[in-house]
Amino acid sequence: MVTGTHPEEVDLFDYVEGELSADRRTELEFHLASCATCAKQVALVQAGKDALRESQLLHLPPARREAISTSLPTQRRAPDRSPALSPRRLLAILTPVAAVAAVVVVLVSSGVLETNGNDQAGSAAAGATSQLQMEDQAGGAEAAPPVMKVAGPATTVADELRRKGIRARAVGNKVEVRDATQAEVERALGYRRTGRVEIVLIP
Amino acid sequence: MDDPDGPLVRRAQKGDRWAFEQLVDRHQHRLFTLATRLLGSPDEAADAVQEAFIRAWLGLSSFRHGARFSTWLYRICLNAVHDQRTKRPTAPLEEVAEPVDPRDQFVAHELSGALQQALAALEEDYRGAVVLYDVLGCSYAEIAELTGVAEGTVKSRIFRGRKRLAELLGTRTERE
Repeated sequence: MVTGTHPEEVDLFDYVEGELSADRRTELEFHLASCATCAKQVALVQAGKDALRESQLLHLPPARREAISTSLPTQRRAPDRSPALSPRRLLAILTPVAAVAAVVVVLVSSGVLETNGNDQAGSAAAGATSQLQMEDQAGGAEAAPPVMKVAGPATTVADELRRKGIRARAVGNKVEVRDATQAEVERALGYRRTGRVEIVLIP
Repeated sequence: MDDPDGPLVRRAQKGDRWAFEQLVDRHQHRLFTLATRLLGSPDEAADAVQEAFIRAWLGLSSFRHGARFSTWLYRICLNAVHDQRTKRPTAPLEEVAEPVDPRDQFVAHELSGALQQALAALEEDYRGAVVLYDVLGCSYAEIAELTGVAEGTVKSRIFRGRKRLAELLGTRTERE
């Protein structure tokens, strides 16, 4: 308990917190009465405790509370989902896929549907590619006047817009927004203070 | 463990958004206090709290009922605070330059005070320990779980944090 002539730090702490046994407390009080070093430490720790306990609970601004509600994604990961797909879940996914494939095979073989599956797959892939290209090219889009200026940082604003389902990316001190109207952006960011991050709509 | 949040958490885990909103209402101010005292900026703190609740909602299925929900939430908030801090180099001055909203004047007043300035001067481990223990009332065990150290270390950090804080406040008072 005692290192040299002084009590250990944890003992002094327990003394301040009133967590020592009666015997140990008496022993320590006896030491404190004759040791200015330990008595000063105890006084400082008590003063620090008092200052901290006087501090108030800070209240989250109501607009931010509202923003939390609006920014919670509607789709949440299913509870207790295991990392791997269970056989039952796999079956649930594959069954409709197999059914559609079977219908396509029947239609193709009966001549109702032209054999243009490759073209369809190709155009789907092309669509995905062009989507990706759009994302990549977002930084090179024409400069447009900002529809809003809000407090940043820009990356945080872009993150928030994406969470709310709006396509956005931070480019320097700007946030480029695609496929969204000014009203949608204002709804999403209206609670933010005016700042230097420019929100630009990319047509 | 008897967790007062248990019933709401169980409902939220089944997708009950209303139950989760109740949990947000219950914990929002404590998380905001934690984040604000650690970051020193109400705007950054609000961002961290918002992020923490979103992460909690998305990761609710990973919460196991052996632990307290509040401890789990504090852990997420501490991570969000850490992430917020790492973002600072990109645009640190802008937040400071924003005008203060009158609604936030109380928070601004608290942050401009000697206590916050002394807290900001504390070593990070000490600051976390004293805020969690003395301001939010967490137990030694909770803080040990949150910070990954032994309970004895938690006590030592609170002891040293309080002592340093008092010294900083005392120095300030003497100069005034």
